[in-house]
Amino acid sequence: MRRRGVLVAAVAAAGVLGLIGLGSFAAGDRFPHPTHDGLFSEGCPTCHAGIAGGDRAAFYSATADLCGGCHDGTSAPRVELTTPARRPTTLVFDHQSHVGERGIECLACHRDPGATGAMDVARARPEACLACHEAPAHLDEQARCATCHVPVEKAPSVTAERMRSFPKPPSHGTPDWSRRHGTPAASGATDCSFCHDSGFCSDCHNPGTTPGFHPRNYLLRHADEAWNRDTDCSGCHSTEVFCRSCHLGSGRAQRAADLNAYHDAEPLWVLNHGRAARQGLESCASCHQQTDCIACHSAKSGWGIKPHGSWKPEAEGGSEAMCRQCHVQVPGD
Amino acid sequence: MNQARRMSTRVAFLGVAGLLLVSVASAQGIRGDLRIVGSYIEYRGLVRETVPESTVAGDGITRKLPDGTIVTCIPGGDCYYYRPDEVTSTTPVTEDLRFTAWPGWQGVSARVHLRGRMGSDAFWPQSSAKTQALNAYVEVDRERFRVRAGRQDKGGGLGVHYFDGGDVVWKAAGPFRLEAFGGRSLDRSAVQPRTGSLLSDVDVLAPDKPAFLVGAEARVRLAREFNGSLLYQREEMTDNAGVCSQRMALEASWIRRPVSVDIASNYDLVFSRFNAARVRLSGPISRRVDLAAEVRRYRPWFESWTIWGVFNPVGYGEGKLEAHWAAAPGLQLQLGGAYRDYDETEAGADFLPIDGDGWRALAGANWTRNEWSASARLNVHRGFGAYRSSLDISAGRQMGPDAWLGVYGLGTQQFTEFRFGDGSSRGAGVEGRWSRGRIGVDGTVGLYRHSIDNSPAFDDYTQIRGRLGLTVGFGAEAVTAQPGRGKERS
Repeated sequence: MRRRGVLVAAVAAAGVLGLIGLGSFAAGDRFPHPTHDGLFSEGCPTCHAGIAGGDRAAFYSATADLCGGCHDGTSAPRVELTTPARRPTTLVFDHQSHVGERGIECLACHRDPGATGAMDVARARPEACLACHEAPAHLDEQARCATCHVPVEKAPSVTAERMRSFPKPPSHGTPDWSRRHGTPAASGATDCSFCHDSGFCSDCHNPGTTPGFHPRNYLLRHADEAWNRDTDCSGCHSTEVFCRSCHLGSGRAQRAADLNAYHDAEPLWVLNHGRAARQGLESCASCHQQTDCIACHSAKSGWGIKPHGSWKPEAEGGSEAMCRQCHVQVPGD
Repeated sequence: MNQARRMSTRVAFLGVAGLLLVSVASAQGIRGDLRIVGSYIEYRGLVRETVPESTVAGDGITRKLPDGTIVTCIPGGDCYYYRPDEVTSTTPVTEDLRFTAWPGWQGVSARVHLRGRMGSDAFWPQSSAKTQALNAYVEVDRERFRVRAGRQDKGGGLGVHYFDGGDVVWKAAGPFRLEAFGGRSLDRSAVQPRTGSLLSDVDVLAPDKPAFLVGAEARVRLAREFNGSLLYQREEMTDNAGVCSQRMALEASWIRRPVSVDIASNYDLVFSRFNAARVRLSGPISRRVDLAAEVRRYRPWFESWTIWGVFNPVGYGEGKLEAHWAAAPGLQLQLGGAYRDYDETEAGADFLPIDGDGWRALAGANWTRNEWSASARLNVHRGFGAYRSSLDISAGRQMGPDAWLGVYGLGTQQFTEFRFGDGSSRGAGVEGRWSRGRIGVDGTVGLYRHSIDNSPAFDDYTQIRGRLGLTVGFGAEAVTAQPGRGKERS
């Protein structure tokens, strides 16, 4: 009796599918769970016997014989049974502890939203996890990614292309994200490593040669940015090695340069260079060596012109190595 | 003592190198890429010219040659000026090999990033460092801790620092995460000890002793909305001759959708002064308009082996406002401006004022529709030291899933406060990228015309710049090649 019911249902399902032009399934088609509703008395384990016990090889346990019971070419069209390949994922979910040990029903996670049939199933959504695992919304910056995911570097099967297909946190879509991502990343507000490998950061933040951080043609017009430090150059570059070596090579910085030949728009540059230096000392150091300044400002070997302004070493500190460049007696000794 | 220290350093180095080799050799999984980038850049340097003072008419320090060139004269000596050198070219080439290997032991991996500059000429910065290891470390990452040993970098509120040593992270239960790190400190740009040739080539007072770095960071996550980190870092010369740097950074963000507040600051403990402090508030003011307001304080920071810090550099305060308007589907407009005001310098001559403030304005538009995209950006920046106004436009088309092709154009005017001559440049170029599986190619070539007004010694010249990159992914689960993920650098 039951067998006959199964047969009728299968024929009916096949007829419906035939009507909509899907008389047979091509390899790769998802199994139409709803149309098989009521056919399997044992429910999900009929085809997914290994789920509860964590036997990955038997996650898809249906056999061609099982399908062939109905899809024999007479009662229903023949079908080719294919088992889907395991999707590359960063998930750490295991069915055994949820289904086998805690007895959680399959539909608790796999019910298609809005559907009511016993086999209206769909891929589990993150919301299903959050129903038990207390957390803010999925992809929220405050969510603990580690509850369900491993960092992408620990999931080598997940390629960069696959990562790009994953949904992004809402913050990444805000217009100023490229400018403000540094603070959330540094403060630990986001678990960046779950979606980005360490190479991702260095694509832009790498010293030397990687294009990415600065806009196109930055070399042509970095001067005003450097003078005014809208971005803190010293976060990545050392003034000496990076700036000065290029300025030396191009002739902009010359050793033992005399007075103000380069700063030719300021006739009395010597009188006024102090103010410019106080405001833009990083730019000065991008061409000048310390010895250029020591020539006049050293108490040991120069003219002894005090460069400190209102800075008081006894109150504000300093480094002995630094003091000894110009002083025999370190202040405070 | 020194011999013992050298011995223990060697043992540690050999240990890490051995672990690296074992990890790589026995790797069950390995993933990485090789990227080769070659550029061709024409440029025109400067040459300092000298003429006897007696041959230059007039008196005083600043005089003019018959063609109008401004020269600086030393009475009784010579007159000096800068003229352009011949147009020449440079061909920087870099080879980057990056990979991560998993030996198959739980939580253990090895990461290596090697850079070569074989084929580069001598002009480009750091070209003399023909091979370099930017990263070479072994990592053990378990549920409660993470340990790294080898050459690594530490990024955070104080920028990026490279060192040879160890790093331990304790993922404490609850909202805390603690990290401690230390080892031989490396120069940020050169990624070599401060006693290395790259630094001594450009500064005769470069340290003659290497430095050690120690640091610690605490991170906390509270009330689902607040995150903060406090980082401390100290670099000291090995002979205790002085401190290279001693700094702290505080970073915090408070996010209550859709509003976020970011706070960032760093403090120089050597000079007892804040170098940077920034508060940024951003969020939508309507369904289509996002607004960001920022106040910022900035004062330059220098490593303490240099004398620059005692020259008492002053800082500035800045206010900034930016608005982003989603004007239509696919069309995003941007408008922004900032004003900064420098502190009193207590230096210079009052009758020779220089700018003590500055402002910038920005207007931009980005448009995308299907496979097409375009952008335009206008920048005006009037600041201390250098001014600029520029217009950039670009357009591109995605050519199927594997290729992208674009064109760009620019016009920019730039001049400096302390030199004669207003420079302007106009240019245009094409750029593109293509990838197929593990292989990617990207490149750009542009033509630029440069001119400098009011400086007779400088005639106009045309410059060609080009770059070609090749990326090859490898390993059992190779990363799909992503050439040119970022923007063009130069």
